[in-house]
Amino acid sequence: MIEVQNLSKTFTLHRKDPGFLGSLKSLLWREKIKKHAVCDVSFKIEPGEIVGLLGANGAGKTTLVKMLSGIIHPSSGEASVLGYTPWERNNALRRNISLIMGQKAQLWWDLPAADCFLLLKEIYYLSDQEYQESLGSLCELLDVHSELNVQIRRLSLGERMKMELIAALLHRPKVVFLDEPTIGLDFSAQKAIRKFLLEYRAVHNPIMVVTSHYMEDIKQLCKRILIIRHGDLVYDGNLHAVANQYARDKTLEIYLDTPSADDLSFLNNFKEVKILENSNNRLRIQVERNEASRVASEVLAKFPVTDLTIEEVPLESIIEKIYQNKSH
Amino acid sequence: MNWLNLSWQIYTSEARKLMSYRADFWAKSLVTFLTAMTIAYCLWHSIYESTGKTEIQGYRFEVMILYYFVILNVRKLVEGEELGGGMSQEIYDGSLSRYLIYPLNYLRFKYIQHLGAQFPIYLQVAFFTLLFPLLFTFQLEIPLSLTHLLLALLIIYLAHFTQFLMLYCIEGIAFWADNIWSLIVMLRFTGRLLGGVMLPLEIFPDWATPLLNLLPFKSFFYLPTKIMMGEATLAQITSGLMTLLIWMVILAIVGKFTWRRGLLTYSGVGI
Repeated sequence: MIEVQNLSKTFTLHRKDPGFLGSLKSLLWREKIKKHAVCDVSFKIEPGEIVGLLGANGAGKTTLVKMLSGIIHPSSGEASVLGYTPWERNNALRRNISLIMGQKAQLWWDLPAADCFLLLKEIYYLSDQEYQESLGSLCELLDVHSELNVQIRRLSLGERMKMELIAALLHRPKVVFLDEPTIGLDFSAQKAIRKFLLEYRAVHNPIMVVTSHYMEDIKQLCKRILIIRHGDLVYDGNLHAVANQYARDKTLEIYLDTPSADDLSFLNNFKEVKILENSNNRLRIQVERNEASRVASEVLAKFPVTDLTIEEVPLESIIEKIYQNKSH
Repeated sequence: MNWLNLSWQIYTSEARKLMSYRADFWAKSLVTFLTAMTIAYCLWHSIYESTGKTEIQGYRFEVMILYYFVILNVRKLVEGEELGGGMSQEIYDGSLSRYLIYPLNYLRFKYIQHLGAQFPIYLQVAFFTLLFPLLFTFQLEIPLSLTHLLLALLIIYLAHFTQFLMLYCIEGIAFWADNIWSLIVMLRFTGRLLGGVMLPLEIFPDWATPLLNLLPFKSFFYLPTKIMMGEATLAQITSGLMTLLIWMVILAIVGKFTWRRGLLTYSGVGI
């Protein structure tokens, strides 16, 4: 289980004026500025949950992951991962967590993957049997047997990412932090990684915390999401419930048997209705989400309808609006 | 046993990594060693010839060349090929993060890696030792006993560890400073100058002797060289060993403090 209480992190940065004079000045005196990366965040993650951590660039997602994996110390607050304080770096905890960083290679570039895995076998004190079983099943799932003896630096990005996944999961961790696991990968490689993560999860059931800018990763992997904006946790809940909370409207798309709808005065009976289009046999109406089915019934009763769909605002748009602190 | 297996794996991984770059492995060592020996030979040859002396500060020309040959090999064994900067680079680019997640002691890991990086150097030193009689046809009597050889190797090992601790302390400054490269270069340059790699310490003025005895560099390079040349007394060996041990303790304490404080400020950039 992961428990986080009032966790905050503030970085001190140095500001330097541009140009030669700025450089000279900075030799003698540098202005310090404070950056609040994570502010008073609290949440809980139960065993076996996969949680998506969303936020715009610089929102504080990675800082939060770095604190939970023990890489950095918080400025204030508390966190417990599997019963341990992560930044105390207890080996009992470190044997049960892993962090996959899509933007940063963790394996040793000059060694072949097989040598890196042997090193990790000893780091995690895996027995020969545990190692062979784990490596065999991970290689099978990711289909990378033929690349095991190639130097990491010579692998393609997709192959390297697969090796990073094997390295991170070799010791079967109970908590896995995935920071942008599919960044820079082509569509089929992204799909393969997502499929692998789901299969791995089905067998081993670890806690997974996924940060990604690809909504497809989040939609496929996570039921619950945490949205961080400027360091604040602004949403913690079901991925699909985010629409109920943040998207006030739905759009009715109606295809008519006539060129357009003549009399739409009945729409005045509903709150916040907006006619988006009424031509070429097509009528599009934006309505408050609770009124959508009633409006649809009225339209069906009044016009010769050939097709009708009720559209949700795309999840990507809702989340983008939350990032920007706007509402639909 | 687990710890031994891990140490062996780290050691061999590092050695394999360095030996996989074959051209670099031979070119770097041959060029640097032969250049340094050629400079020493030409410089001292002209000094002996122009002054007309057969001995300078107790060194005949042949002994002076032997001194440079031994001390250059000792320097390689103590320092290694790299100038350092690996640990500070890991702080700057965030690679340190992976070691904070792995269940291991970073200092121990890096030291064993550092030892692994020495393995190719053992091969190079053995090769150069075989090369010496072919390059120089001097008739020299070296009163080197097995005890002296073992003592010299022990001091070289302790010196290697002490200079690693020194790097550990200095590279830890990277938690606060944006660039520590100049510090590493200064350390290496000062160490070689005050350790007798550039000039035999007998050439230094008398007033410098207390300072040379206080710093660890004399024990890094000059002392093991003198032991192998059969010219060190028991008192000099004991005093050198004590200096190394005291510096080891000081550096271990300073290093631990620096890194403990530094890790509190570490931001893990790059991820």
